[in-house]
Formats: sequence, structure tokens, C-alpha cells
Amino acid sequence: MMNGEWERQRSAFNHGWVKNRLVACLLRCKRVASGLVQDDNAQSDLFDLLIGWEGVRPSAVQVLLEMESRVHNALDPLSSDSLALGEPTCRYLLEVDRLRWLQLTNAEKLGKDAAKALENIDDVIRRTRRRLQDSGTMPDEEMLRGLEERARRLGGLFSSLTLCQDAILSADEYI
Amino acid sequence: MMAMTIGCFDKAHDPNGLEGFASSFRREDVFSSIDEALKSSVGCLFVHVEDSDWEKLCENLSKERVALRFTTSKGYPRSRPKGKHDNCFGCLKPTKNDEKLTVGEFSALVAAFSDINIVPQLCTSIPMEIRGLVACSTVHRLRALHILLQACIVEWGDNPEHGTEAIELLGCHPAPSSVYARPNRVGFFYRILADSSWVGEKRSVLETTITEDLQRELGVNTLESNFEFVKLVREVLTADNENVPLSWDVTKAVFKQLDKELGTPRGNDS
Repeated sequence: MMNGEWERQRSAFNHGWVKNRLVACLLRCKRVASGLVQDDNAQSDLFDLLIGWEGVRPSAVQVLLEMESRVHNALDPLSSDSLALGEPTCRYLLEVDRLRWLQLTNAEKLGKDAAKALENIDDVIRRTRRRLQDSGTMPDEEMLRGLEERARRLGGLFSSLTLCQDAILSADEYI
Repeated sequence: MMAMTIGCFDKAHDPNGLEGFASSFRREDVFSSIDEALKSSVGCLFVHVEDSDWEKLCENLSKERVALRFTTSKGYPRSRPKGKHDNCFGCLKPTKNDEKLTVGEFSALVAAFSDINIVPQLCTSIPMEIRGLVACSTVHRLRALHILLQACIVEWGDNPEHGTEAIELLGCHPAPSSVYARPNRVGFFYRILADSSWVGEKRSVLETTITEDLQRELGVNTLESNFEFVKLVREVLTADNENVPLSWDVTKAVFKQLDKELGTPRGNDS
């Protein structure tokens, strides 16, 4: 996966789904569960979101797999870069960038922490969904709080993920 | 300067987020929905919105208006302006968390976006006072230079005189220098700057073109305050042959500047 697509996928999952949808919905549900407001759609919206998790999760896994691959493997230069600067030079430039990224961002640990947080939330989402399916009632405040905490932790970790460069002359950045 | 009114819509109505930054805005210029903001007469919109509202804004914002989108975490990546009229931008700094926007930086954005001439100007260059806060044009040359310079600094790491400083600049020990791919050669810099292979003569005629390209990528009208780039261009264009190494002083100065703007964000163990 090239960097642009990885960044788009990371952002769509993290900002688009975890923060804007899941956390926002959980905040609504918490207000309902605590009796602060009445919101007839909150419970069904949460259920729909949690049902949708199976469709969203693979993109988060892909983001982490790409990162893990960069942690452990040198990158193959693009043929356009190799033609312009020579293949050994490109390989070396990308490797320097990758090793610097590894050390300065602590990428390996960040990736592992994010994978662990994804596993944790996966487990809680499945339990909450089962609870909604079985009882047909709003989960209690404690369960909602647990899910919100895990969602926020996952969001924080996914926000801090980065990748090393995958292209030299073809990199498309903006200022 | 002709003044333009700025309005704000923060989906979260967060006093610690965008709405907090915009607390000095007139009450009637703080909107409760994106539709209200679009219908208003303010020339510039500062927004914190979900993707669907952003798409609506990009689709419907008329060409004489401008929008700047904020996020609470991380800031938006550098990207081409969005919208039907290339007038919708993303703020590079978030309103919360690490490296968040300061009050001074927000004031600089307000000042810059209050200028009615900002809209046509933003598509080609970023005013100095809001550089690093708003994205504009491609920086593929700067990115490539940064990648090449990193490797040159590694090579300088073996130098008895500058080795220690080189390692300090890198902030780590990324790799041993390579005997197979000696990166510190002006020929590589020429390839990036001129976007063509090394030519033996008449390189100096390219100085104007290269300077203009760099100015555009740096978002400035002149390289006066980026003199390290002027030195880089001259050293590359006047070198005897493509295998001449770039000097330490120029390497260090340009690397420091680019590493600050484009470098890998430092992580920690927490």
C-alpha cells in the first residue's frame, strides 16, 4: 500500500469512524443511560454502528499490517525513482529514511500498542453487541464507559501512527 | 487591506476547541449548522465539521469566499486545496493535543484570512505569517531533497571534523554510510532541482527556473529569508562535475530547515 492510500485509510477509520461516529454515539448513549436526556434512536444507532464494525475493522488491520511490514522490511524503490537516481542509491535513501523513522517515532512500539488496543476494543464491541442483541436494552453506564475509554485510547494511538517515505522523486506532498 | 468577515462553525461547539479560539468573533458570526454558515454573508468560514458537511461546503462555497477546516487532533496533512474553486483549505495544526495551534497562530490566521485578496493568492503562495499553518502547493522537490540530505548527513557522520554534529542533527544512528550508493554528489541534487539529468554546461541558465520552483514549494515570493536554498542552487549549478560533494555548511543549513518542516515527528515511549 502506498503512503497516500494508507493515510486516507488511517484517517477514514480513525477520524471518520472511531472519533466522529463511535465516540459521538457513545456520548449520546451515556446521556441516555444516565437519564439526562431521552433519545429514542440512540440505542438503535449504537447497535447499527457495532454491527458495522465487522466492515470497518479490516481497514484498521490493513493499516497496522502495512506499518508492521515497514518496521521489518526494507522498501523496494519505485521504478521511476530508480531510473532517475539509480536503484542502489534509491534503496539506500529509502533505508536511511526508514531506519530514522523507526528510531525517532518509536514506530514498532506504537504499532504494537495500536494492535493491542484494536484487539481490546474488538472484544468489548462484540460483548456490547451481544448484550444489545440479547437484552434489547441500553447497556449500563459502566459498559458504555468501558467502550468509550477503549475507543478513545484506540483513536489516540491511531492518530500517532506514521509511515516512512515510500518514494523519492515521486513523493506527492504539499505545503 | 480590504477586510473580510470571518465566521465559525464548530460541530462540537467546544469552548476548548475551535469555538473557544473564535470566542472573540461576533455572536452572529458563530453558526449552528453548516447550512446556516453557507447561507451567511461572511467571506471566510473557519469550520470543524464532519466529512459530509465538508463535502457540502466544498461543493457549494462560491469562488469569492474561502474556508479553513480545523481538526482537534494532528492537523490536516499538506494537500492540494479542495472545493469547486480550490478555495477550501485544511489547517495543518490541530486545535487540541500535542503541537496544537497557539492563540498567536490563530490570530495570524484571522489576520491573514481577513484580507479579501487572500483567496486568489492562497492558491499559489502562502503569506509568511501563516506558513506552517495552511497548505498550498506541491513540495515534491523539497521532500526529495530532505530524503537525499538525510543520507548525505549519514555520510558526513564519518567525517572527523563534522561527524559528531552530523549525528546530532540526525537525532539517531539510522544506518552505516554506504560505499555502494554514495549519496553526497551534486549530480543527485541537480536531478531533483532541475528535474533532468546532469548536463555538462549551461546549467546556470536554469537558476531562475529552479529558484521559482523552490519559491513556489516554500510558499514565498523571494528566497531572501531562505538564503540556504540560494547557496544550494548556486553550488549545484557551478560545480565542475556531478561527483563533487555538496559542502557541509549548505548541507547542514538546508537539512535543518527541511527537517523542521518535513521531518519525521519525534515519538516517545508513552
